[in-house]
Amino acid sequence: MRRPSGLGLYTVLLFLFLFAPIAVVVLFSFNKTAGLTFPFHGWSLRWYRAVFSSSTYRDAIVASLRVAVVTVVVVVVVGTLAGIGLTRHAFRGSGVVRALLLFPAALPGLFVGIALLSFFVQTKVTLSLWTVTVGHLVYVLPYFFLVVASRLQRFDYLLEEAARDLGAGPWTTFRRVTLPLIAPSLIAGALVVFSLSWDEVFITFFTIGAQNTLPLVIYSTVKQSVDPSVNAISTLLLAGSLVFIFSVRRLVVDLQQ
Amino acid sequence: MTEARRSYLHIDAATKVFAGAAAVRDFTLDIADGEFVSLLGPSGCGKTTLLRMIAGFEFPDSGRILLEGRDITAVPAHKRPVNMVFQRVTLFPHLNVFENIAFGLQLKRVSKEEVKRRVGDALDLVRLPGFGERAVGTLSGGQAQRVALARAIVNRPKVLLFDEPLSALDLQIRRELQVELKDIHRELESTFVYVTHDQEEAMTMSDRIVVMRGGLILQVGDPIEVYRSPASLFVASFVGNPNVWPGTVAAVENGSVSVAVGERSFAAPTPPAPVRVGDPVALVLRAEALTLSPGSSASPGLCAAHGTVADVRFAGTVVSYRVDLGDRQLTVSRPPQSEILHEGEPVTVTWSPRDSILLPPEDERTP
Repeated sequence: MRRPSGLGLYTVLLFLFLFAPIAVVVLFSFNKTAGLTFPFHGWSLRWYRAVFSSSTYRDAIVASLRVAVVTVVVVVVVGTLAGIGLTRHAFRGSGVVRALLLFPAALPGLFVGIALLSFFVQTKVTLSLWTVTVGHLVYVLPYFFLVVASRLQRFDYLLEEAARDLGAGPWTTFRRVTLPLIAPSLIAGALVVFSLSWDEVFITFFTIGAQNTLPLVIYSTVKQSVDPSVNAISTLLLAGSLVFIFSVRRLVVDLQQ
Repeated sequence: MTEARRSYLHIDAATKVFAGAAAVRDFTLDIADGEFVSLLGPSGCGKTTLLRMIAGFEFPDSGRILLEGRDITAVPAHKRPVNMVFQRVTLFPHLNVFENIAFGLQLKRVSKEEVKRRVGDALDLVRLPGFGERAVGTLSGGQAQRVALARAIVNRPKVLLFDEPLSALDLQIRRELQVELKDIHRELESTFVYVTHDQEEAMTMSDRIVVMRGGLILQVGDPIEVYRSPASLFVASFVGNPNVWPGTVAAVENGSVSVAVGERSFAAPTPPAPVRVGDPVALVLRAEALTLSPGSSASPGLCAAHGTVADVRFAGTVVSYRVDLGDRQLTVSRPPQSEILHEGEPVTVTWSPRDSILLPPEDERTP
């Protein structure tokens, strides 16, 4: 079958458009000089050294990690419980609870950010990394819930009955049968949540206190001056995201088996 | 009856209602130690609900369940010394064959060496020696149910429960496993309660069959009893595939009954419940109890009906004939070695009156 002419060219151009900016950022993160445009003057790791020696970046990385890790831990516990509760028991209004749980994902981040800010101001809560974490929780819980609930919906509850029949109480059944079987989806969901929290900007922007997270630091750096270390830190972010994406992909493959 | 064989598992007036409809109604049954009892009935007859109440997955709304004299009615599944083989494969996919079978023993903190030994023994018993390291995903359907059986018997339960464990398997593997299950029962001498809707399966394996319908017991008896002396027309038609002729009692005289079926009249054995002249009855003639011969002949002492062959089906183990008697039809089966008769051939169907069964017609009140 002959392909229409020009389709190949179109595809190449499209991918060029998509990936060229990324390639430029990665390339110039290794640039010897401070220039952000061609010509490229030669390889060096000076911008990476600049990133790691800068206390602003280090603090921002630590702050982002703290927010992301706390978010992941809380969401995994709450989301798993919600998933089990809502997939296993059809109670009065469980459909409403489910819809409410998923609702924040449909809201614009800007809106959630402003709503949280006015909430924190009215309740006189001091803005800090904790308020950022609360914002992230609201935003990522639906995503985690969707991942876990879809796995639980396919879960064969007869396996739990078999475990009970063999002498396992409710907790032992959960620990020895349910948890190992849903673990890949919990990990996949946790990775998604981590990467969502790691580069979240809108909600963070409105709920942040004195300490900045990494995306906000990068944003303000770019706004203020032309600093090639931004290329280095962005490349690091990209590398991190790629690791997450491939981990999730592998887990999804595991899930399908 | 010895002391040990007296009422081992006792179900006392158990009733279970789901959404207003009774699944099991006032069910009382005694099962002896070492007995193989089948609960036989169509789907929805309550047999699985009863099994699940013995397992502890359901609890009766009223009535009691006693095991070795101990009331276990309210004991949850994980604390009951009974184990179940389910209809679907319920092996834990994240564990291998050995770990699946060892699951129950590990929960009971049995020592490592003993677990190893007992799992090995169980695998030998189900004819899967050396399968311990296999992943459960690599097993065939029959192998998976053998592993499920090993996983249950390794715990040495007081009662083994089976919820149609072979119904999803191919006919040949099902037959094979029926024989093995019977052998295993003989070897273990433990108590089996087996739920099935397959009358042949119940017949070939059980010491006793409980025929159920609408949550009630219709008949309890050994396979021969249930086959030869069905308590009702439903039992008679559920076990085997007999010819049923509605008729009326024409005469009753010392130990023998005469039944009018249309224009004809046949001698029949006395039914369990007394009948009077004019009572409506059903004459049950099992296809395998009838004799088919070419031409028209009659022998004294036998019932006979003349007709022509309407249809011949060669099924391998039997040849099934449909005989047209003019106003009605009869299905007759013959061994495959017999001479094959052809469509349209005039034939005579004969049977001994004591091989026919006389039952009350299906009562509207029975569920």
